[in-house]
Amino acid sequence: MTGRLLEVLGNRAGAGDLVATADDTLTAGWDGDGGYQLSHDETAQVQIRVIDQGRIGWAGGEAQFESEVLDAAIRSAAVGGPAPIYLPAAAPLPTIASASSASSRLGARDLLDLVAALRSRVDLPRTTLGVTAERSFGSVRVGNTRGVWVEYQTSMVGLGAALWIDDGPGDPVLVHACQSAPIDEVQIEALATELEQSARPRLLDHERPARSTRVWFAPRAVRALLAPLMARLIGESWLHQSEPVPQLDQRLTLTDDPWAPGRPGSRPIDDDGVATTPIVLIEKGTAKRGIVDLIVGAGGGVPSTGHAWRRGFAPPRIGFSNVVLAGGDASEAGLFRAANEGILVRSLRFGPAPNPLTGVFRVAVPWAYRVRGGEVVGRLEGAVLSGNVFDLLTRVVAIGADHQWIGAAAIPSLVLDGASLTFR
Amino acid sequence: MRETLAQALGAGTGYVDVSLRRRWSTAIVFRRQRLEVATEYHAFGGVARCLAPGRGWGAVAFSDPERAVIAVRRAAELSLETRPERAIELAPIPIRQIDDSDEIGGDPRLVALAHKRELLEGLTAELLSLDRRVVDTRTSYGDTVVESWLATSEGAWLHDRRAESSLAAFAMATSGGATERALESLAVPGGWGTATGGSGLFRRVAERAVARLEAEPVVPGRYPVVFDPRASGGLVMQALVNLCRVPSRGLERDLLALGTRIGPELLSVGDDPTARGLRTSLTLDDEGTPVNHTMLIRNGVVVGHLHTRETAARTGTAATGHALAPTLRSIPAARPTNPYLVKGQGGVDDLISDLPLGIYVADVMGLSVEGRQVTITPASASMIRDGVLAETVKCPPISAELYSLFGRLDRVGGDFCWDLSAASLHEAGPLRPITTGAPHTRFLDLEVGSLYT
Repeated sequence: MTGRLLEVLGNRAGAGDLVATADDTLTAGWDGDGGYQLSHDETAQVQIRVIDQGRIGWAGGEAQFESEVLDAAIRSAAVGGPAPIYLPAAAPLPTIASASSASSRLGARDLLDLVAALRSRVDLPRTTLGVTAERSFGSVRVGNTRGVWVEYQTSMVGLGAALWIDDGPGDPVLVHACQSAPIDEVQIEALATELEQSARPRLLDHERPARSTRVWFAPRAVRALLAPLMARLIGESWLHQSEPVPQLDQRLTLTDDPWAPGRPGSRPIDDDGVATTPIVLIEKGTAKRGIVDLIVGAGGGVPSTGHAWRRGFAPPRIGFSNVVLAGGDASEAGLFRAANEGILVRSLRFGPAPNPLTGVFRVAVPWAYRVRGGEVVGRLEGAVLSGNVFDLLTRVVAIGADHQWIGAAAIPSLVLDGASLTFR
Repeated sequence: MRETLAQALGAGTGYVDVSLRRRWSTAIVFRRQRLEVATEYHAFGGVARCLAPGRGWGAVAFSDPERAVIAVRRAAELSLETRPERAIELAPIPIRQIDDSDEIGGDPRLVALAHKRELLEGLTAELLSLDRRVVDTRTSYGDTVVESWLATSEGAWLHDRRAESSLAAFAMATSGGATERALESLAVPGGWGTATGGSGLFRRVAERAVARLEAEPVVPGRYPVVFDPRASGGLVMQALVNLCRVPSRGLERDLLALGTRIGPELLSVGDDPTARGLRTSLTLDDEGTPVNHTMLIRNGVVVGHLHTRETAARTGTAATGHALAPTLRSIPAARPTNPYLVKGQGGVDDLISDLPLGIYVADVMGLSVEGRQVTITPASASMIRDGVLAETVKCPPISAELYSLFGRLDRVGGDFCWDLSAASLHEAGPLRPITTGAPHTRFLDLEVGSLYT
């Protein structure tokens, strides 16, 4: 049906493109209090962009209303702004592993078993565990009036858990793993270990470390810490260089890799119809490239980097595919040595800040631990961490060899100097 | 539609509900004078839920009403596959059948996209011409018509149709290397022409961003702080009401226990889904429960929680009518509609006239509660000197422990008003709109200025 739609689009308007997605998602949830839920969602959506008489417009909606969506896109173009872009022509595409047929066969019983496997593995006293397992599969079709017509399959399996500790902070420890292939026992074991390591006994106040300290950011915490850096590498922020990325530690190299097999951002073509390719964003501490789509790239006079996302009702946006921070050589023992008399932060969330691009942060870190003598000696209650992300990334003490995939990011541990630690 | 849904209900086992929504929306966005978005959406979505006796929930989201029977059948299968370790019960509710599907005055679907664009383009041009220091703006217009149907196996029925319109403006001003930002929005029920006053709203955004350019930062220290009604409402919503809704899943760790003293006698907080004329008011919630005005905190003590039918049965209380789903395809959970702080006495002058030195906060840019730590990032602030409002200042975040914060609540004004900005509940995932209401409030001895140093 969608191929025919593209033909109609070509007849009714000058040019255009579309992205059609289909997705089937099954979710099993264990709420930690004896209750199970199973839910199922099937969606089929289309987003159409029209370039007509020099103006551009778009609309999105459910595939069942695709002719209405096309009408809306044409109306949008009639009042739209000038079209600054040329649609790409068909080009050779890489073969990317973006789906697993084994994942698409997972049913409700398999997901319930996955939930049960993690539950049975984590047996911690005075805690409550909630677990969710999910699988989705579907397809993405990208086409335009210049001859691009590509379909690729997608699948994703996720397993996540929330652990509340009776004498811990109000926030639970959150861990998750996701990939296109089914979750295996090794990954279940890794999640269980992460949960167990988070549930360390609380330290007494007099056992707290000094105010300013060295911090070992575990991969999940590094993923959050990179947010201000990545914000400066996107779209107009990158093109206008209003807040350029300063020189960072020379051991830091960050790439965007849409070709990484079986990860959430893996795809051969972006939603503008541009072939994807891995790019180096930060090389040896120096910002080399940012990411743009067709429209923002045209505004800045640069080609698209293949990072357009246009799905269903959501406005078109520029986004990374899979980001990979190069790993280092520090073993676990090396990370303990580097962070001695400091703290380990397993995860963090940025709270509100006037402008995330500045990199300035002050966040509560409910899951922070004191490191001493090559081991974690206990959990710190009420810790608050502050600093500037860009300053911290110039003070790298060690980079771990413990690369871990967290959603669409492959991240190692970082031990950084210069964060300010206080307690409330 | 009623026949379709009745047929679907018959395909399930045990308790069944089916909700369906059809939504038409317009979104127009300008970045400075460049049009970024001018588009219309049409969405159809629904959820069928089934709770087989002795089993857990099975739920299926779908897009086509013709598939409602299949969706219910599949939800029943999923429910039967679950292996719960506790029985799920639903609190009994009065069964109502409501049809509120009158035609919409000024139906925005009948207004051409070009007219809507013209409206926003004019307002945007006005905003950009107000001050040369305003260098960047992002403005938006939106309207939505939603038609909803809900049917349950117990006989509840709802069919309603409603519309709302919104305007929002963001401005960035720069001068001498300094950059400041301001944001304002308006969201009201009704069709084309109801979101009036855009000109004043856009002007306020520019004025606030420019005023902050010249503002000096507040000297860190402890101050009495007076919050305007919008800031007071946001604070009460995020720091208190959010902790009074019983989670459907997971631990009730953050829930403020009934009987907890959270503040002084003058602190009373409720949620009123029946408030007239607000875009977030309702008659039935998304489970078909008639909505109730619910008191959460009375004279400083927690006296109530917001419930779904399941959470109410779990705690042996009545459902409050707050089972709300944020999107067309999501499952309801306990969420507020129109949370508010009960008014006290006096106006803003009464709250500041006896303060030799203090801070007046108008609106908040960010408000977070992590554990029991509350952090308020003011959007706009002025000093209070010798009992009157003085110079505009840049106010860094105000941080306090929850009980300590409300223990310092000293005065609640009598100038109650509902905040008509396009506010949403802060939670992970899709956003559910809310309307907060409050008068001015005054807190003594708050720590200001320890963050972002």
